[in-house]
Order: sequence, then structure tokens, then C-alpha cells
Amino acid sequence: MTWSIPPGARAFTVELARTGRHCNVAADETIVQALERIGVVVQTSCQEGICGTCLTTVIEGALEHHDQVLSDSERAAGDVMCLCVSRATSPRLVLDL
Amino acid sequence: MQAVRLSDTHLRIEQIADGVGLVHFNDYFGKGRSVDTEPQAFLVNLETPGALLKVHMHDVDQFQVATRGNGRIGAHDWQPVSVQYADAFTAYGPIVRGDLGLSFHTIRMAAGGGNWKMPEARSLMVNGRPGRNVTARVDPTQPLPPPGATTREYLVSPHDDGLAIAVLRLGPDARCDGLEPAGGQYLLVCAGALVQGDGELPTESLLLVRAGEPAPRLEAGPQGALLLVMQFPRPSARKGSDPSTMGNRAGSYVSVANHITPLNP
Repeated sequence: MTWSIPPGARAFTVELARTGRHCNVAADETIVQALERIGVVVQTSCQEGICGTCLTTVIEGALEHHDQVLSDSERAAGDVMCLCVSRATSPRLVLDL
Repeated sequence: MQAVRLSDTHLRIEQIADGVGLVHFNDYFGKGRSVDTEPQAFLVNLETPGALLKVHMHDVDQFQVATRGNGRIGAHDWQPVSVQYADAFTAYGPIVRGDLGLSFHTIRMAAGGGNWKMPEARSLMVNGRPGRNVTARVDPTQPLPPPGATTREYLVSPHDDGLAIAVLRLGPDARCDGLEPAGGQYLLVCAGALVQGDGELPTESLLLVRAGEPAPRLEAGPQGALLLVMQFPRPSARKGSDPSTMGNRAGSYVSVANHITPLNP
């Protein structure tokens, strides 16, 4: 894997709207890794923000995109993200999972 | 049912640009780069150290099975015997050759029409979203059942459209019926051998069961057999799932054709 978490990344909380589960995403881990820690496996492939396998609908939260998949208009809309590389800039992120 | 031994395959050698290098293909079913609606299966041997296939997608449903060497597919380790299924128009990879080399079988019910790289190809995804991309692993060192006995294990339980991955373990001289094919089915001999007529189908033989054919009748040789069963989804309205609708694709391989140099007839 060639992608790494950018310096200065901050921790935040992820909530899963369909199940009500939640977890903290530490500054040095990805959302995929944090969810795996609580037993939620997200379908992934490249884990570099290229393939789009982990695209997920966002219900609430401000985003910091690090993928190469989304268009400019999708980034601006802020309602979908790649969980393998992208992060929240708000303290709370709610996903359609 | 049709069966092909590795020793009966056609060797195709190509030099591929863009970081892939020298590749030896063993064609089991289909005609190499031909784009048609017939089943296509080949073994890919990445010969160049450091070979890397960038994240890409195809226009057909596909299984891939790592059978020799080591490497990774995406962020996942890829070692024998690891199997991956991707719906048509679902990106996967990159595939990276490890230090032991890497050989993998690519298996389709219709020939692939091209190789589209991400992220440029995202517009081909259905509604911009990927389809299924699942992986599983078989432990080829697990002992086979005793003589005459068989076991069946699902690595991926059947989906509503029939997609499934299963392992059949046949003890020495055991006989059993395979699975009913949904949208068609391949069986890869991962260890041991099957009996076919007066001969054997040894490790790395590939069996094709087309949709509508009965479940295959299988018989192991004296050492038993470990079979990986790859069950394709039934054709549906899902883009890329129905070989019968693929006859109007371009007659030549798309996207990477000008990066490939055939090195043998």
C-alpha cells in the first residue's frame, strides 16, 4: 500500500446509521481500520483511494477527500466518500452503513 | 462439461507495457485476446520481477485464482489458493507480483472486451458505484477425507443470483455430484487429480460446466482431489452479466491493445 495518512490528521467519531454502532477513528488510522476494530468489515480493494470499492454514502459530517475517484462536483456535494483514505474534518461523521 | 489439463493449453507470450513486463499466458478456453461471447479462461504468469497491474476493471464478471507464487491484490495478500470475484465494471487491484513470482487463473463466462484503468474509467461503473468484489482462500494443505468420502464447504454462500464459491474435497477414489451451475461454473483442481475416462485430470486442470448443463459427476483418483468451484451469477439486467448480449462489442481488445507486443504466434 503506497498511501499513508497525512500529517496533522485529527481523530473523530464515526456513527453507522443503519446499526447505531459507533467508534472513534484515531489520528493514525483510517475509517476502514477503525471499523474493522469493532468487527465491521468494509469491502475494499486498493486501499489507496483509486478503485472506488469502498465508496459510501455520507449522511452527516464535513469531509476531507484524499481519493482519486470522485469528481469535483461530488466532492463539493459531500454526500459520498472513500472510507479507505478520506476523513472527517468535523468531530462527528454519520455513514449510511 | 469440458475439461482441459494445463499440459494441453496453448502458450501465448506477450510483452506488456505500463509496468507489467513479460507475461506467459496458458489459454485453457477461448482465443487469447479475441472478443466474443464464448467462455474464456487462461493462466497468467507474471515473469518480470516487480510486475504491477494497475487498478482496472473489465466488462464481464470474472474470477481470479492465485495458484503459484505470492503477491497482493489490492491491499490483500494473494497466495495459493486465493480466489477473487469481481462483478463486471468493478475495479480491483493493483495486482503486484511477489518475490516468489505470481501465477493466477483468470476465468470468465464470456471473453473480456478490454481493460479499463481507474480512476479514469469510473464513468463505466453502474451509477458510479462498484459491484461485488469478494475474496476467499482455500488451505490446500488441509488433509483430504478418507477413501470414498467427500465434503463440501461454501467459501461464499450462494447469492440470490447464484454467485457462489465452494470447495469440494474428495477422498481417494471418492465420487460425488458437483453443484448445479447457475450462470455457468468452473472447477479448478487444486490438489490431487480427477479421473476422466482412461486418463487423469491433474492439479491445475480446469473444468467448464455451462449454464443449463447438469451438475458434473466427479470421481477422484487414488490420491483424492481438492476442487475449487466457481459459480457465476445467472444473467440478469445487471450490466455485463449476460454473455448473450455481448455480441456487439468491438472486435479487438480495447484500451491496452497498443501496449501489447505478441512474442509468439
